[in-house]
Amino acid sequence: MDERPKSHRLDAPRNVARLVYALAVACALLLVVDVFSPKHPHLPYEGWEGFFAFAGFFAYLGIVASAKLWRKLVMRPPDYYGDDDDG
Amino acid sequence: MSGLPPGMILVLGALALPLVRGRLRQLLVVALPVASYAHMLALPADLSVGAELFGYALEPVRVDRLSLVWGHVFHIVAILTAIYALRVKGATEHVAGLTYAGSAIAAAFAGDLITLFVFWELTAVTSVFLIWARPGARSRRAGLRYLVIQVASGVLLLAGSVLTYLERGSLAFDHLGLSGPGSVLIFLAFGIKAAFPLLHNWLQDAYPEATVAGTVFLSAFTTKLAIYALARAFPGTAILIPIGALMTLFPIVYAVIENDLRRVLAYSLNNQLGFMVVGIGIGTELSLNGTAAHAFAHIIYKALLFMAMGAVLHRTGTIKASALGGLYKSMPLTAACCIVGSLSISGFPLFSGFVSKSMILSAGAEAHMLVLSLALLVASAGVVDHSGIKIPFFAFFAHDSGRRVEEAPWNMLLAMGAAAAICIGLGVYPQPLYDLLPYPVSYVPYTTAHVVTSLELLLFAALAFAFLYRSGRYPAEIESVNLDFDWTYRRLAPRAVAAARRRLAALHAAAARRLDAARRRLLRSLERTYGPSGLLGEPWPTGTTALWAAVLLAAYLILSYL
Amino acid sequence: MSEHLPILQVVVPLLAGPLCLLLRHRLLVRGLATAVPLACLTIAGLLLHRVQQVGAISYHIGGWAPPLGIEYRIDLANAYVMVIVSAIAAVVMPFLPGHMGSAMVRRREHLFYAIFLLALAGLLGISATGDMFNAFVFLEIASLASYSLVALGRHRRALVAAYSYLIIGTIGGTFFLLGIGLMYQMTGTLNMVDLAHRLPEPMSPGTPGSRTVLVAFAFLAVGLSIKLAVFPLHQWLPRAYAHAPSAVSAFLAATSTKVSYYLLVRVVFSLFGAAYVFDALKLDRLLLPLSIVAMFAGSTAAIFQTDLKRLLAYSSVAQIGYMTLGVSLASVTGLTGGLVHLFNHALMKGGLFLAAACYGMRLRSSRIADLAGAGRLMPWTTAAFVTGGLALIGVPGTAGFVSKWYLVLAALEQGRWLVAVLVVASSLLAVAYVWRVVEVAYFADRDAGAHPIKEVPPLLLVPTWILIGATVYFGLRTELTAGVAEAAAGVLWESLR
Repeated sequence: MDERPKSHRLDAPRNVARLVYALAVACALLLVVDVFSPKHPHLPYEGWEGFFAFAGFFAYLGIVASAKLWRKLVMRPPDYYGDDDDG
Repeated sequence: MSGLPPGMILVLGALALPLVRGRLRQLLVVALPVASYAHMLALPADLSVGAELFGYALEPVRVDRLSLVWGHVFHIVAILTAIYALRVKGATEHVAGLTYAGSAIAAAFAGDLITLFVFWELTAVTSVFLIWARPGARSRRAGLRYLVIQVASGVLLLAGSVLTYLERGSLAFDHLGLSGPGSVLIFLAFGIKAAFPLLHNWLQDAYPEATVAGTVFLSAFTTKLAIYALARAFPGTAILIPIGALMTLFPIVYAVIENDLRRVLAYSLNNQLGFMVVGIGIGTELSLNGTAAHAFAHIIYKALLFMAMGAVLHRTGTIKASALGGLYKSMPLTAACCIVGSLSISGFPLFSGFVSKSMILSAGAEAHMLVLSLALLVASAGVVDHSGIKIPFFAFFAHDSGRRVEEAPWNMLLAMGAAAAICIGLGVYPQPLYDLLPYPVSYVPYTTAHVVTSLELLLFAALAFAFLYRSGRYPAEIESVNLDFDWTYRRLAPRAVAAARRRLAALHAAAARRLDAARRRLLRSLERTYGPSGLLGEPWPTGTTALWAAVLLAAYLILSYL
Repeated sequence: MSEHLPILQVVVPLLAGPLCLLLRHRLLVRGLATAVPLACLTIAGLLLHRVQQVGAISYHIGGWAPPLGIEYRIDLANAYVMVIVSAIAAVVMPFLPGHMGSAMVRRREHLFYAIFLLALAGLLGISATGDMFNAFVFLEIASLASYSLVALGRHRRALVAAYSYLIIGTIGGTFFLLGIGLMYQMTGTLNMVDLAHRLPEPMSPGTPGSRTVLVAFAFLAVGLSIKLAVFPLHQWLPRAYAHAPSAVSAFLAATSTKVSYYLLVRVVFSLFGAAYVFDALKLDRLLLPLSIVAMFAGSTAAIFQTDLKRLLAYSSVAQIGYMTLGVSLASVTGLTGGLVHLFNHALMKGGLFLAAACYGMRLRSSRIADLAGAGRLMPWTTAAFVTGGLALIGVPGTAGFVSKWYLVLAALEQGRWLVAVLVVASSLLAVAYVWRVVEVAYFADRDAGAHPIKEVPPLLLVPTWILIGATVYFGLRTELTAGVAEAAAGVLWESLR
């Protein structure tokens, strides 16, 4: 193994920020495509422009928020059951 | 040869593994599942082998389109996992893993409830050694809890089978539906193994405690065998829809806050089972095809994810999110395979999860089930979180833990690479998978609307993650135990029992004193009646027995006058 | 020669016993004692074969015709029991020399073998005879021999256990004799076939003798229940089996209670007839609850034992509960279940006690805690114990499953759901006590200071595995046991009339 600390691209915060911007741009492009794409809905919301984008974003926020709340309720120290023998 | 149930080559052949060593054993470990697969492929497509036991007509082997889906994927994953586990020292894990795989395969080809029961229990008994093979009291206890629950499932199955036989006069393992107490017991037996809500906890409890390769084996067979059994016996059972929807939802929350990444995957596994259960509940040809396809795709990508996490555990010695991060620098290939698995499970277009999960979603939409479809939508966003992002992100990226390890060994990389290739292959060209499904497929996954809406859901969820993580609002990785339903039997029940025992002990002591006094009085009176020579000097129990003999004699006489 | 088989079955061990006293020489005695059970097994096998071909055999001793003379009557039921008894005797024989407790006994080995052969003769005699008084005599021969065998245990507590066994056993014998006496008073005969013919007359309600017959039955049933260790008359059994030499425990557990069970079944079904016993006497109302309590109380007690042999003994109490449950279900299926369990339990418990004897030889203790590490150091013995334990639980593929299957089936036939559920539930208790042993043997580490142990020699492993292997064999090939038991149940059910 090479002992020298190698620098990796993702170590630079600038590159990480670029990735996030790329993601945002991709999302924006998708919304544009969505407006022009043909729809044949079975369910009402399938016909709404941008609904899945909205659902994806806010469902995710909702899940994380509820998980944070749930954590307050169920989190215990790691040795709670008293059988933590392998660390 | 055709009378031999598929998978029996594995079960019997694995028993020979302890007898050989070194290269020969390694060769055998891979050759056995391959041979077993060849044996299955050689069987005629609609074979039925009958047998008789105790005068009951049994059908130990039944090959049809439904069982073949599971037969194929079980064999494929058995071969992959065998390669993954190739360099494990000692025979225990190999024997346990291969007999376990073999019995699951044989169970999928069982045509009657008794054969099913036998292999059902065999999967339980063999698989527990994959947990026990990991040293330490923790896995020993987890394995014991696992075994008790699995065997209980088998007992329910047997009881249900007997009742079903009495109700219908047949032991055939076919469509049962929820009718009568027998089928309810069988439903519960399947439900335990399929990790229905509240019956689920053995999964998250036990899987993360198994060995590196053991967890991969475990993830593939037990629960998916239960899905097969449900699809066989209870398609179109409406109650499965809410059960499945609930299964897709509640594990997500736990997955977000769990720190053990293999346990995150176990919760994610539970959530994926929910999709399959929903598909069975809807019960249309499309949804059942969806369930079969999703089981197929799921087994491969879930095995891949567990393999990747196993490789990390193998190299770093830990699988806690709080202690990992930055591993892409030293394990780039493992990271790449893991990302393929993550994209597959998230249902990203061109990966296998997309072509299978969308069938179930479409079946729900076609049936105009609004609430269900919304629930599955939320669940899909949840999958993006726990398996799509959390697993690869916290293991391989996030904050650099400073760990510099070697890349995974070649055999693990080979297994992961093959699994990743299958994930991509099926995603790009799903036709071979569709050709396997039980009903004819006219489904087209790649329509513009599908692709666009899926990508919207996935990318915006990813965006939400980026937003939360960079603003520091994403829940931090904390080493902890999160209470789940197992709290009831690991904490509540023991406490209640201890409290009851104290109470009972007090009561018992009091009652014993009183009884003792009464007994003394009785004895004294007996002594007075029969004189000192009668019962004097004899040890207690002898006298008691004589007394009881008299009581019984009297009871017989009194009874006959009644 | 072959027409004298029924009497040879009993006379061979009966004469071989005293012959041991005359021979005295260690090797000669051992050779004789090994050969006799094998001869008995051959005879029993021939008899079973004959009976299957031609039906019941009646042998008149000394040519005196019954009902005046003593008749030996072999049908499917007792031929089956005799095969079991002599097979077990043959298998435990290699264990005897090493397990004779104190040095005092070892110097007088011939006495020990004499007693053992007498016990065997008694047990075979009970099975073979067609005469009630003769049955009583053999019952006492077998019992007296058993008391002495139990007293030969390693510890002095064995003497107390044997003494209490003697007292309780004698009470049982006396009850049995009283029952016979009352029957004789009403019918003037002791021959079983004759009794079966003459009993209905005084049995019919209203006749002056009906109460006497009733009392006679009650005495017989309670007397045999004591010998059979039906709950709550089981107190003697755990003490006796725990303190007797292990090989003796294996022999007694596998044969003595089984023969008593046979005799009870014979009295209930052949002499009095199912109709009378269950309709008029309502035996089932008492025996059924007692059986179920035995299943649970015995297994629960087994869970809390710290001594391996005591654990197995309490498990026997529970297993006897299953057998009597078969009787009290009052159907051919139930009786089949009981008889199959008689056979299967003889195999399992015999095998388990032999495994315990193997442990005892190496560990010099029968405490469960001392088994630590035995899973690794004595793999074959432990594997035998685990397999036997699985059979005890009733895991499919073992003999235990077959008997429980029949019992559950019999309960369901009559719509007694609760009983079926209880049979299954009590099996779960067996999981607990078997697990306790497995956990210590496989998962606990042996103390560093403890004396080294190693696997027992093949001479002991082979007999153990013969019995344990048989539980698996008969769990898979059910037509041999279940088939014969079903036919025997049919024979008994039809009664001697």
